[in-house]
Formats: sequence, C-alpha cells, structure tokens
Amino acid sequence: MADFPIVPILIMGFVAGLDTTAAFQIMISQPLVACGLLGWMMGDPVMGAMVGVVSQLLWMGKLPVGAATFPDGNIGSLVAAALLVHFRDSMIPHGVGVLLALAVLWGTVTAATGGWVKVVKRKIHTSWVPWFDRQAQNGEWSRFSRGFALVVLWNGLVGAVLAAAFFAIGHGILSVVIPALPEHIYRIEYLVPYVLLGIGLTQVLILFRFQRWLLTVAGLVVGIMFWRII
Amino acid sequence: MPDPPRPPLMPHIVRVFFLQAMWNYQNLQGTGFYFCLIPYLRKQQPGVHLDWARYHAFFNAHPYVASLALGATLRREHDRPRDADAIKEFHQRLAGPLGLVGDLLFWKTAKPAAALFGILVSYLLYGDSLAPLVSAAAFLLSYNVLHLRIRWWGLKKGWELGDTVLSVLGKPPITRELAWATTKGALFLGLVLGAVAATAASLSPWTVISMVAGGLWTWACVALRLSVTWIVASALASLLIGGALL
Repeated sequence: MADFPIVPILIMGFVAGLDTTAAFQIMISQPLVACGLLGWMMGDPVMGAMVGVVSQLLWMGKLPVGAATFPDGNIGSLVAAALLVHFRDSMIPHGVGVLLALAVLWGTVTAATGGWVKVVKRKIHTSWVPWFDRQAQNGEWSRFSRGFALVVLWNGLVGAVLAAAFFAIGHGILSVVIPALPEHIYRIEYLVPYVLLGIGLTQVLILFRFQRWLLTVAGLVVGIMFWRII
Repeated sequence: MPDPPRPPLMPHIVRVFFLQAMWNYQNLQGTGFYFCLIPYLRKQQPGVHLDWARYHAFFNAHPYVASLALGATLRREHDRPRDADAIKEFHQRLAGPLGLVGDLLFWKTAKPAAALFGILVSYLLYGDSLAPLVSAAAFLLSYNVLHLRIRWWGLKKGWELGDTVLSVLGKPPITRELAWATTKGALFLGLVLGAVAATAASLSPWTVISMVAGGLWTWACVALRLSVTWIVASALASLLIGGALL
C-alpha cells in the first residue's frame, strides 16, 4: 500500500467531478460504483464497497433538482472510502467500525464543503457566459466548442483537487486521532454500520413516499425469511 | 404532409451528454444547450441566420429528458428557420415540464430502484471477492439501459413531434417506465430492509436497536427540516462521543 495513495484519489475525484453533473451522468460516480473502484485501485475493493453501500443509501435522498444546492455526496463518499482502506491496518486487532464512523464523518464534512464549492463554481461559470455569448454572436463555433471542452476539463479537475485535498486533511486528522482513541470506544464498532444503514434506509423510505407499500412489506417479509434461512 | 428527412442525430446525442458542464446562474443550462446545437448550426448557409446568439438563451431541464427539447428545437428550426423571437419562449415553455418529469422518473424513482438492486446483489454475494464488481455492474446496467434509451428516444421523438413534443410526457414509454421503476423500487427496498434486519437480528439486540434508533433519528430530523449532512454528522458524533465517555 502506498503511504499516500494520491493517484487513485485524483483519478476517481476527476471521474466524480465529471460524472456527478458536468458530463455523462452514467452514474459511475455514485458511491456504490466509485467507492468499489477506488477500493480496488487501493488494494481492497470489499472495504471500498462497504463504504459504497452505506454512502449510497445515506446520499440517495439528495437530488440534483434544478438550481438547488446539494452536498457533494459522491466526493464525500470517495474520501471516506479512501480513508477507510488506507487506515484499516492501523485498527488491528479491532474491526473497522470506529474507523468507518470517523471516515464517514469526515466524508460528510467533505460533502458539505463540496456543495459550497459547487455554488462557487457556478458563479465562476456565470462570469464566463459573456465570452461564450460573444462566440455565439459571431458564429465562432469552433472557439465556442474548444472553450466548452476546457470547461468540461475544469469540472473534472475541481473534483480531483477537492477529493485529494480533503483526503490529505482527513489523513492528517486521523493520523493523530486514531492512536489517541480510548480502548473502550471499540465496544461501539459493531453498532456503527447499523446506525448508518438505519439512517440511509429511512431516507429511502421517505424518498419513495410509501408508494406501493404492500410490495415493500412483501419484500421485507421475503427478505427476512430468505436471509434467516441462508 | 410527410415528415422531412431527419438530419444526422448522432453528433447531437454525443454533445447532449455535456449539457450541464457550463451550468451557471445566468442561463442555467443555456450554454450547454447551444453546444448541443452546434452541429446543426455549422450546416446553415452563411447569412441565413444573422442573430446566432438567439439560441444562447435560458434553458433548464432534466439532463436526460432534455434530448426531447433538443430534437424539438432542431425540428422547429428546420420548419421555421426565421422565427427568431419565438425560440426563447419555446425553450422556456419546454423547460419546466421536462424538468419535473425527468426528476420524478430518474432522480426520485429509477436511480433509487437501480441502486437498491445493486445493494441487494452485494448482499446476495456477501463475502465473495467479486461482489463489489458484480453489484456495481448490476446497478449501472439496470439504470443505464433506461437512461440511454430515453436519451435516444427523446431526440428522435422531439424531431418527430416538434412543437407538440410535450404531448409525450403523459404517455408511454414515460408513464410505463415510471410505473415499472416504482414497482421495482418498492420491492427492492423491502428486500434490502429484510436483509439488513435479518443480519442485524442475528448479531445482537443492540444492532437492531441501533438501526431503529438511526431510523427514528432520521425521521425526527427530517420532520425538523434538518439536512442529511446534519443527520449523519450528529448521529456519528453522538455515537463516538458516547462510546468514548461511557
């Protein structure tokens, strides 16, 4: 494992910076996909995917609707996954529950900051509109397209820099916090994933507004029976 | 009157993937929409249109369903190329309904349904080293089959219907896909809930209590209109501080 896995974080931050809203939107930036990919690049896809499942549920209710400002849960999840994979060995002989709580907590701070960065980015774009308007007015379509391609690239770079910067800060914080954790805090570690799943699943329930609730109840019964048998 | 021959749509569909790259507070997606029209504008005779910037106007819709607006704009420009004043009004008329329908179909229904399917697959393959890859593939495939189909269908249908493009919103395939995604989402949500509840109950009563507490905390915070950032941060901070102090 690299001491500071900057390359995978920059790559996935760039992808998230593009796919979240700027380009494609084929959902490769969603936590369920991106965190597993980042984990794979860092040597532990299963650990990455664990953050991915939890984060996917946590951020599902935040929708990029219209001009609304929303936390950048995709970048936040990537930073959380990177921290979890990077520090997992330092938790031995304990499990990773407490680390998961710390990583997701820092990921939440990252996501909130990412939402603010998005507003700043849109304001910067607004200042570029007159230049594009001039190209449109003059029928300079090649210059317009080249300028637009640079804006696409800029979106990816902002995502990469945000992810790398917040990983670096989170790395510094966790390097100090983890050795200072009291031994008895590890009693809560098996509770952490279930608190997060409770929060995430409740958000999805609210998002679905209990439509077709009979199907949900039927699925719940079948799910419990199936998983108790296997 | 038979439909005019359709222009090549592939250059437009490639560009529509970048619709939101220049999202701004002046024309929202307007610059991106102009970028999508450039292959058509390039083919116009010099001097036919003098005011090229009239296309560079306010536009905002759901990024996938926006292809309906793009197709309809191309058709309108083909049929009435000198109708300069009406184009801005046309864009504004399309933006609201296309945004609402796209948000409902994709952000609020199809995406959660596909994500729940991916999570369900990851639960089914729990412990398998291929689980992350297969669950991600399940999510991407189940979502993007619909997403890409609607983008391509929208561009073709927009060209076909022109001014009356909004008439497709209350009909299949939009209504059919919405109903199907709602059904899948409700079922997958139940199955994931069942899987999580069963595994939590098999560990200890405290895991079940933690899950229920997380859910109740979320209900309370949502009722108080607190953001998800606050919900997650406060729950985790309380858990960590409680664990450290008690």
